[in-house]
Amino acid sequence: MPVTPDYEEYDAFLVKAIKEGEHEAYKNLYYKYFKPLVRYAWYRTNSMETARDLVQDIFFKIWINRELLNPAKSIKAYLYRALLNSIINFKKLSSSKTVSFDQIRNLTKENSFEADIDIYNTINKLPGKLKEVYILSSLEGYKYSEIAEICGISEKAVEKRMSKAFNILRKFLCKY
Amino acid sequence: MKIKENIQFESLCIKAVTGNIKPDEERILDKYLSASEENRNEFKRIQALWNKSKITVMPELPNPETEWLQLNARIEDYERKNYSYQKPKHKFLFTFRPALSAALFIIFFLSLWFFWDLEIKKPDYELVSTGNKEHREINLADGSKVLLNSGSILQFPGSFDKKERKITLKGEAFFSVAKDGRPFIIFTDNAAVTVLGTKFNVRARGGKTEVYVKEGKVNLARQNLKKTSVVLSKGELSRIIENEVPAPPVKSDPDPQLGWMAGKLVFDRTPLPEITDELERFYDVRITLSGNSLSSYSLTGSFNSRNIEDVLKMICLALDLEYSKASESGDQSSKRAEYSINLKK
Repeated sequence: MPVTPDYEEYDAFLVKAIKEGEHEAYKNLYYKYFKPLVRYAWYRTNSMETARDLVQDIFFKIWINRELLNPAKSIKAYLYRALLNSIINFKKLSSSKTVSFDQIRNLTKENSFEADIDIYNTINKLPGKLKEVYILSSLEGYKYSEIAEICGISEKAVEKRMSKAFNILRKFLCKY
Repeated sequence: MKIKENIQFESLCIKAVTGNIKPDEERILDKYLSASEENRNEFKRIQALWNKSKITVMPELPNPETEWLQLNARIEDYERKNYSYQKPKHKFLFTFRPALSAALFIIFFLSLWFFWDLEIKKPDYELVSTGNKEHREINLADGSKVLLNSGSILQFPGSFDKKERKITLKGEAFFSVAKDGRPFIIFTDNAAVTVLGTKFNVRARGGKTEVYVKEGKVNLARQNLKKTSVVLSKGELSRIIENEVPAPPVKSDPDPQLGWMAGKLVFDRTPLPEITDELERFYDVRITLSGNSLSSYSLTGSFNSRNIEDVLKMICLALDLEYSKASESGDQSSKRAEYSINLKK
């Protein structure tokens, strides 16, 4: 299996050290996951400000509650779970459901803009469980095994969800 | 095709385009693909859909370094508040609290009166230094923050002068200076860096002072000749070598200057002796260059490996050199690994 075991061990090592109050380990964990988490949160909220705030909150809580960390459990899964929960809470709290695409619009050339919006909208229309799996694969290029770890499901289930997601996307974007 | 087969085929296509296919599954997929034109088109469609759905545009991400400093400020704030609310636990202290606080009160004012003169005339200096492989974060009295790189020394007063904030640096540090009206001046061996409230990196090593500005404006001058100075803006780099005049500021990539905070070593046409110095501090090892000709080599590249030998391998490959590890039996007093780099025989 093409998994990188030392990667996971490294995470567990960091968590153990953080639990003992090792600030340097905390910093390492932060630098390892900051960007992927912000990217993910941005994709789900379409606001860089929000993404940043949510991710900072999660790291803040990890340090404050470091004694409660469990090195035997995947910290990566924990981070994504926590982030997903705060994204859901955030969406409940923010009353307006309209999404602005100004940020994308500014960055995109006219031609590809409409297409990008289409894709973005369509992916966001996917049912929650499918969307989660699809975004993790597309945005970060995580392997099925990693996605399974993050979502707490089997690799087979990831495979099934990916197939379903592809089928739905295809219906919406009929060109393909 | 039967429905069950169809599902398997589709799943294999998805695995292939997302980079999740295993060798044995690849063989099955190949069979499907060679079976019919229809299957090959189906595969192409799935691949096109995947490529299309890749998120290609995204606004600029917030900077991890600044976020990290903010996060830490927040944690410190939280911890300070929580510790100050702890209740007294000792019975003795509790019962005699009024008397005790009165006594402390008096002692405090007496000492204030006593030390008042001394404190203004002679600000007490603090010295913070880092060893190899060590970074330290320092909070200054004015709210400014300093992140000290390995093998560096920072000297600063416990409280700043009324007119200006002066500190001394040997080595490398990233400064986040708080605005408070007074100029903030960093003295290195050969230069004076003056700012008001900005974020920037200062590297003062080997008779050379290099400044890279991340935010705001910075004034770089020679130590004793302030007339010849340059002003740097965001994203610009300048340096003073020995007693020369400052180099004109140029736009520069942040990575070679700020990479160290993310645990990354980035070199941009850096001479080999400077590289080995940096590696010694970063990995806590000793590296000797045998032969004078090696000091004329320079290298561009970035490393974030946790293993020094990987880095040495890459450097030697790039420059067509060789490295060897010194036998451990030599100097027993230092536990540091020793390496030497030399020309290929």
